[in-house]
Amino acid sequence: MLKKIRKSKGFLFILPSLIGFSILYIIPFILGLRYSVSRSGFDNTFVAFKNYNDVFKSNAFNLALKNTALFMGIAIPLIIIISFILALIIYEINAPKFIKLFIILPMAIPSGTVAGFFRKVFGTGGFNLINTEYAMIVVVLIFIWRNTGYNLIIYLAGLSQLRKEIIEASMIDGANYFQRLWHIIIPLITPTTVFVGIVTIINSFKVFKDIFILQGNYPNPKIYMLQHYMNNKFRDLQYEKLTSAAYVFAAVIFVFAFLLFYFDRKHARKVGES
Amino acid sequence: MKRVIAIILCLTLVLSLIGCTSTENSSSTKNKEITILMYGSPYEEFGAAFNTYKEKFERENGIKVKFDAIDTENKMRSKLYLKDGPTLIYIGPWEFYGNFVKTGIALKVDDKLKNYAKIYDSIKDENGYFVPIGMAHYPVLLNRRVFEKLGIEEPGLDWTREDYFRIREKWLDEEPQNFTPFLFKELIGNVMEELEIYDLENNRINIDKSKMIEYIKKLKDELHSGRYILNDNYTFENYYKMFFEIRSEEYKKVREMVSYNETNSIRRQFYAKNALNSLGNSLEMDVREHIILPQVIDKFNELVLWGFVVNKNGKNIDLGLEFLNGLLSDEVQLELFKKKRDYPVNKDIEDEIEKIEKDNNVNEKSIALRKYVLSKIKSGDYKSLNSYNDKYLIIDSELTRNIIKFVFADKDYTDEEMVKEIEKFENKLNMWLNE
Repeated sequence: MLKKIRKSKGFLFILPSLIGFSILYIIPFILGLRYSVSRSGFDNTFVAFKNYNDVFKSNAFNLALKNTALFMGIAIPLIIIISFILALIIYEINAPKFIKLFIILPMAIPSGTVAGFFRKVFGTGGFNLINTEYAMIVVVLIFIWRNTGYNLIIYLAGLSQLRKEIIEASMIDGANYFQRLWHIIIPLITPTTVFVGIVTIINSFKVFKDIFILQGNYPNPKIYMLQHYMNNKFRDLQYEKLTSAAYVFAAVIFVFAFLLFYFDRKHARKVGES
Repeated sequence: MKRVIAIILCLTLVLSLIGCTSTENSSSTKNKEITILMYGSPYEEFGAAFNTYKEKFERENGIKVKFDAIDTENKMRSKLYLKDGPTLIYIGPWEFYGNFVKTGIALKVDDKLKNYAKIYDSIKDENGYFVPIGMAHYPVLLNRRVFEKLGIEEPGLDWTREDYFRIREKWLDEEPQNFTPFLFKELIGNVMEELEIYDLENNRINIDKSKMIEYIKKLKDELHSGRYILNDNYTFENYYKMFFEIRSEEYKKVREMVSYNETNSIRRQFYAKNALNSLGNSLEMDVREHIILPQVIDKFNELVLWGFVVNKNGKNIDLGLEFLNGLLSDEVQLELFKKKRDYPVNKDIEDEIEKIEKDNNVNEKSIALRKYVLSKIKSGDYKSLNSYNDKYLIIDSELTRNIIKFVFADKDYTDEEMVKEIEKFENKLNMWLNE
């Protein structure tokens, strides 16, 4: 018995956390499902997929979904590439610490200040982009400016873990820098990239806060995101629509996360084989 | 061990789920009481007739009728989430009940109340959820002195909005008047109809930009026509406060000015007597300066209803229905009239009302006004606030705010800037409508 307990003591340690996770995440998730198939938060009449149907029929939801997908499609790969390049430069030239500090600093700036600055630069009187059809560029810029530092730190940690002997062996074999980068560094850093990808997806939701401060509940339609839709539904206490939209959103995120893990596994197998 | 942990986790989940689910049979259900959920203080809202009936109902049924007065919509909603929530929801004179129906809170009651059939057909909720108890029509009070000074003939009961504006024009032409938000709001009272921005059928906002720009320019021209005395030191901020912030100095100043300057004004702005209650306004009719006529300026004052909806999840619903049925009875409805404020919604007591008028020597003009207004209500010419789409009112108020922003801006907007702002406004409303 004692042996058994010793063997599973790891589980006992994580039990409090698991209980907290279950209560705070799993129960709301289950209760939310009930809301999404009820007539309203006040009336439990079962309406099957009516709320989902309404949500998909809503022009605002479709617009929000399109904008969110566009934002994630552009901003996430872009920030991963930029932070990787910056991390690589810092790693290769062994840049002084204050450079890292400057890159990380935007994370610590309050959203209100960020919004004020970007309004000044890209609003009326500045480049005047926020109210045009190119408003998404401003949002992508805010996101990249704010989050590059965080990804950069993860990449730097990943790069410092690379086994030097492999790189040195390739140098002896006559590989130039770009060959080393393409055939050794990038494949070896892929697990870090997957992690950065997931963290970036999570951080990408936070851009809503900046847009909200910039333009309120109903911004320029070009930057109306799913979080706007859900936030407005929450404000109006339309929990049935809110939860339906949230599950659709969650499903999309699960698919993205699953794809990332799938590619990571596939890649790990490939690297292992070679 | 893994199994033990899995079992502990499952048990925790099940227990928490049970804990999160509210029980249907709480002890409060057993209490013989009904609760009325409402905004603000109940004692100011309800008249004496209501309170007398409430006390009688409590005595006869051995139950308690409690008020639950709350101050925010969120608090109200959280109360309605309860399984044994409030029994009745009070719908005040300028409140909407449409959302309670849409979200499934309201109970259909037309077939559950015996006295529901007594309500005037034209004011009945077509879906049978709302129970009106009292009604009002807030008339326009004109100043006879101004009519005499200008030598204008007094209009009759069948006057129109156009008649009022013809009189107002003459009054303003005669002598410049101090600018007030009330005078301005009269000008834009029909803005929704004039600009036709809301396509109700397709639930969309379509703003004809050039038409709106033209409308704003006309308003600015009117404002600077020399017929209004404007404060040269006022900026947009001052005007904004004057219109929207009732605690601001600007607002207080204007209200004071309107209240004390009634001898020269064409219209008394703050007149809140019910034109339907001839007992209550009989004495006013005899004041020499007063010309009291049906409302033609503010459409939302033509028919003002207050009443209740029944909460589907409320406790003691049967008692709540009995309470409402009693409120619609001839006896209580007649009492409403006698207390000189409200007018009954019960159509079966018209003869008794006439008798009361006769017994109390009510002014003939008051009776004529009541009969005229009542005929308009019966024919459906006057509509209550709830007949309008709740979105209509929000759009109306947003549009008004935007127009004020353009008209009183410190620096004039160029046409191009205005088009951009209008587009922004249009997009915002369309997103809201389509959410």
